[in-house]
Amino acid sequence: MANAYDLIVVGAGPAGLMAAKTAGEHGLKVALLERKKNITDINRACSMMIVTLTGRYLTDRISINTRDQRLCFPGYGFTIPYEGDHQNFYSWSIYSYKGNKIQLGDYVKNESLGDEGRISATYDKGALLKSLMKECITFGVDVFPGYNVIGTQTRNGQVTVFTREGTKFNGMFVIGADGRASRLAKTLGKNKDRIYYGTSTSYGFEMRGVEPSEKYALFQIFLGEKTPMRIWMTPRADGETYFPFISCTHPGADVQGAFERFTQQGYFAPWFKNAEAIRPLCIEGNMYSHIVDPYKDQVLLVSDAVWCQEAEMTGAIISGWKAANAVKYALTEGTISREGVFVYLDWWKKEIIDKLDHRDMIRNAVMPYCLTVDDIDYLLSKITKTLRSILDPYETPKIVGAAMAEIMPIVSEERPDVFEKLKRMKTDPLEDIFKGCKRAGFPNNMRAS
Amino acid sequence: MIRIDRQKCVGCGGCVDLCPQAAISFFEDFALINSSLCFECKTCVNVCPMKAPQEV
Repeated sequence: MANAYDLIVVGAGPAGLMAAKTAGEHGLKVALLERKKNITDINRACSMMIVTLTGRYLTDRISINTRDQRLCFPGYGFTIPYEGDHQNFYSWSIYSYKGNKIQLGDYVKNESLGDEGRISATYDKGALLKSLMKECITFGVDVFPGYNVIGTQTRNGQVTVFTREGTKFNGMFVIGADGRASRLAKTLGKNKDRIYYGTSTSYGFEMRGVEPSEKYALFQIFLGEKTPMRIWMTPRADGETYFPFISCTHPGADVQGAFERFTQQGYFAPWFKNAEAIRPLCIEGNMYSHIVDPYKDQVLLVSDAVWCQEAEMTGAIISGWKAANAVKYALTEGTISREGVFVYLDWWKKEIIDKLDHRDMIRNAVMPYCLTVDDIDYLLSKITKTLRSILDPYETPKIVGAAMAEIMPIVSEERPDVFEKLKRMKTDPLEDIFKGCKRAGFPNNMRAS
Repeated sequence: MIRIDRQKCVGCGGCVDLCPQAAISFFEDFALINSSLCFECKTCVNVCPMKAPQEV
C-alpha cells in the first residue's frame, strides 16, 4: 500500500500545479501525478493569452508585477511567481479570407501608449509552469511524472488513484485537474449530464519571420475553406515568434492542406513569404457544457476538466487555488465530505453555474456554421469604424454585436439572404447549428456518455 | 492493428484523451497504443491532425 497523502492532484497543468503548491503552502502532504515525463515543456497548441489585463474575468482583473516577477489576482487576493516574458498586443483584427476586417483598437495609437494601450498580453506557459513547479518543490509536494491516471475508487474514507503503470496512490481527497478530456470526469460519470457539441481540432506552427499587418496584434481569420475553419494568431512572449493555428470542429478535416493554403496562397501569403516554421503544435478536445456538480466521493474536479470550452490560464489558477483551499479547510475541520469542501463548490456554483450560460460561449463561435465565407466577407466589409479595444470574454462579443446591429438596416436591404441567416443564427437551437459537426469517441448524438 | 508513427506524433495527447477504450497512454511524451485494449474503432486515426496513427 502506498503512503497515504492528504491530497492527490491529477494533472500538472496550471490548475494542478496551483492546487498542489497551494495545498503544500497549507502544510498538506501532496502527491502530484502527471502523464508527461517532461512537465514544463509545452508541446500542444495554445495561444498563451492572459485573459485578461483589460477587462474582468471571473470577477478579477489580472495584472503583472514586473518589478517582482509576479502575476497578480487582486480580486481573489493572491499573487503567483512568474519568471517569464510577456508580449503586449495592441489590437484585435477579425478578418475574412479576402482581407476585409473588423478592427478592435487603433493599433498605432495603442502601441504608442505601451502598457496603457494594450488589449492584453501573451505569456510563456512553460515559464509559468516552471515557476509553479519551483513552488511545489519548495512546499514539499511529491511530483510523479510519467503516470497516466485511469480512475479512482473511494472506500473506507480514502481514495485510491489507479494508474496505467500499475502504481496506486492513496489520499483523503483528489483534485482532478486532468484537462478537457478528463478521464476522471468520464469514470466518475460526470459527463452523462453534459451537452456535447463536437470535437474541436487545433493545428498550427510556431514560426519565425512572420510579417503581419500589425506586429503585435491578435488575429482571427475566417478561412476560405469548405469546412468552417478559422485561424488564430498571436505573438509569442518572446516578441519574435508567432503562433498561427487553425481551429475547427471537424476532426479529420484537411487542416494540414488548409494551413498550407493559408500561408502560401491568397490574401495572407505575403505575411509568410519570409517565414520559417519552427515546430507543429496541435490539440484535440471535446466541447461540452459545464459540469454542474464537480464533486464525487472525495474527488474534486477543476478547470478544463469541468469547463465549457476553456477555463483559460486565469480560470485554471483560480480553480486550483480554490480547490486546494477547500481541501485544507475540510481536512482541518475533519469534514471529509461534499459539505467540507464548500469553499470550492460554493464558488463554482456562484461564479460559473449561476452567472454564466455556457450557450453564450458556444454561440460566439457559430458564425461560420451559419454563414458562408463570402457572407462573412460581405459583413466585415460593412463595418468600417474602429471598435473599442478590450479583451473581455463577455464585453467583447457585445461590442462586436453592437457593431453588427448598426449595419443591419443596410444588410436587410442589400442582402436579405444574409439578414435571414443572421436572424436564424441568433434563434436556432445550438444543437441544430452544430448537428453537422463530427464527433470523436462518442455516438453521434448530443448526449455524452 | 494500429500503431503510432513516432516520427509524426508530436505528443499533443489528443488520441490519449479521446480513445474510448483508454488504450492509448503517454510514454516518454509520445502516444503509445496498448494493442490488447485497442479494438480498432479508428477514433485516433480519424482525429489526429498529424496523421500519426497508422493501420498496419
